[in-house]
Amino acid sequence: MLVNEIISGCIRKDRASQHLLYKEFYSYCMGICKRYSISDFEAADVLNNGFLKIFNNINKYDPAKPIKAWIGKIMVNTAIDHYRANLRFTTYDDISEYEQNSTEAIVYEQMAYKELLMLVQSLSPSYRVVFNMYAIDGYSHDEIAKTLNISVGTSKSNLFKARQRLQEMIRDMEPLNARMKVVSNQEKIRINNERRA
Amino acid sequence: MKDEHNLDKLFKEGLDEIDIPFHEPDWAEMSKKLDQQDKRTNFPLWWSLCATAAAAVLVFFIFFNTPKNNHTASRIEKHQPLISPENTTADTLIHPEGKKPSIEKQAPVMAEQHALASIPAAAIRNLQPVLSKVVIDEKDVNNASLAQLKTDGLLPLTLSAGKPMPSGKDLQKIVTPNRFSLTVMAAPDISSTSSSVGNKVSTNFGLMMNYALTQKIGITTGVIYAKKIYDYNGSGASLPGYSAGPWQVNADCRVLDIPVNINYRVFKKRSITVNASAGLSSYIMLNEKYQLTSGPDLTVTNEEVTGNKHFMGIANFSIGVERKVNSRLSLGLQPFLKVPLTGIGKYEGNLSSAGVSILFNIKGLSNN
Repeated sequence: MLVNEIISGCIRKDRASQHLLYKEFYSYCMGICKRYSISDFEAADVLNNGFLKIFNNINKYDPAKPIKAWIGKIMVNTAIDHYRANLRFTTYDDISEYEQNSTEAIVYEQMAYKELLMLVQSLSPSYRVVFNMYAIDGYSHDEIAKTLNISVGTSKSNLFKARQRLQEMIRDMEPLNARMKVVSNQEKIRINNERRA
Repeated sequence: MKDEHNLDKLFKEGLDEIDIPFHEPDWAEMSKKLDQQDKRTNFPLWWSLCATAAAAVLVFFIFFNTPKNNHTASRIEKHQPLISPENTTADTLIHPEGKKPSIEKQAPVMAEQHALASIPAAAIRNLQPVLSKVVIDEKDVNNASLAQLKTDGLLPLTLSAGKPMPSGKDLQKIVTPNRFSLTVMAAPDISSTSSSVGNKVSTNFGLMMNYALTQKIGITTGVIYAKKIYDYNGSGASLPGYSAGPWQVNADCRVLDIPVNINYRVFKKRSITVNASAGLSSYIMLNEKYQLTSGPDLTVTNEEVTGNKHFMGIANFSIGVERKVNSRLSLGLQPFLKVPLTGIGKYEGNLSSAGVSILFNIKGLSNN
């Protein structure tokens, strides 16, 4: 069945069509929800809230635009909504703590999805949401600040802290994970030279 | 900076576009959610109206159905056949000599306004000489009954014992039913749109004037001050560019609702009356406050607007149950539904309201 037919069915609130659309975009949407959530359980909750919005508004979808982008945007918004709704459980760091002090260069090799997800999910909610929005979903600090009702400085600070935390965790994982290396600047140059040669 | 870029890239590439196997129980949950939503969408207005109407009728019959005044009223109805143009004599109206002329027994003949109102003019003329001779002696009068007559609007309030009964024009005045009544109402309601996020209770207060066109049909108008609090999902999710429209609109409006309704008396038994009414309302928007949550960045903006008017833009439907407390006052419960025929407010919301009015109906406003 073509996506357009599925969409028409969803507009008619046909449950079988809704099931097909859900199934079709399940993986993509769940991918978004998982990285914004702390657990699979929370991710499934956000996913279904997002699909509820999608089903309720599908008659307003412009078929000239790609459906995937539309669905993805709604899913990200729903995840952000969910974060905002649970704001009381999160804390923000002050901008004063923001300073670049990384002395190590890290060569990131391919890490498994599960490991990356685990790392993102282990961030505090306020770090995770900013990191997701900035690094993965392409929001600017201005947009993040407006969306989350925080200052641009706080957004930058949280992003920095998130990255720092992720780096720390990757470093800690190193003995256990041979696919990722933490190396000094000097070593990095050596590796690069070897690669060039 | 490059490290940051690498880190971001690692996560972006590693977390994006991952193949996650479909988990059927998630769809089961989703399906349940859709079912619940369907129930909510279909349930609230009509079902809550029907349920409230049924509850109102029950409450009235169970708790209020032992009125003392009913004795008089029921006896009056039994007396009605006595009055006919052919056979209107003093004997049929007044008890034989030797028995005290009990107002309680006689008065009801006159008391039932609509019964007398239906007497042809000729019969009233025949009645005049008889009635004009009747003199009510203070000693004979059951004071309570006289008071009842007065409050019923049958005897003029100025009528005092020892004076002859009114005759001629006066009598015709007396038997003309008071067609006007005044209603004070208060109503909690739920205002909602087709895509409401959550339902909130709003309040209404109003003063209404009723005019009885016939025994069964009447017309009602008045002014209701209404506070309408509602919210709905905006178009943000669907508009091109995604950020143009609001995701959610929270509205808090102050409205003057001017209804013109036609009422039809469906049922009357003893002191219980059931009316159905329908009509149109005009909304004068005194003040509209909106909180818009917009676009993917969910920016919250506040707006305040005044001056919108919707002339005859809302259809009203209601069913009311009234219970007579005394001859002048009745209490009522009236479940109602207001359906918009046009978009309401600045954002032309499809704003409907459903609630229950509590009515205090005051009769005896003379139209003479």
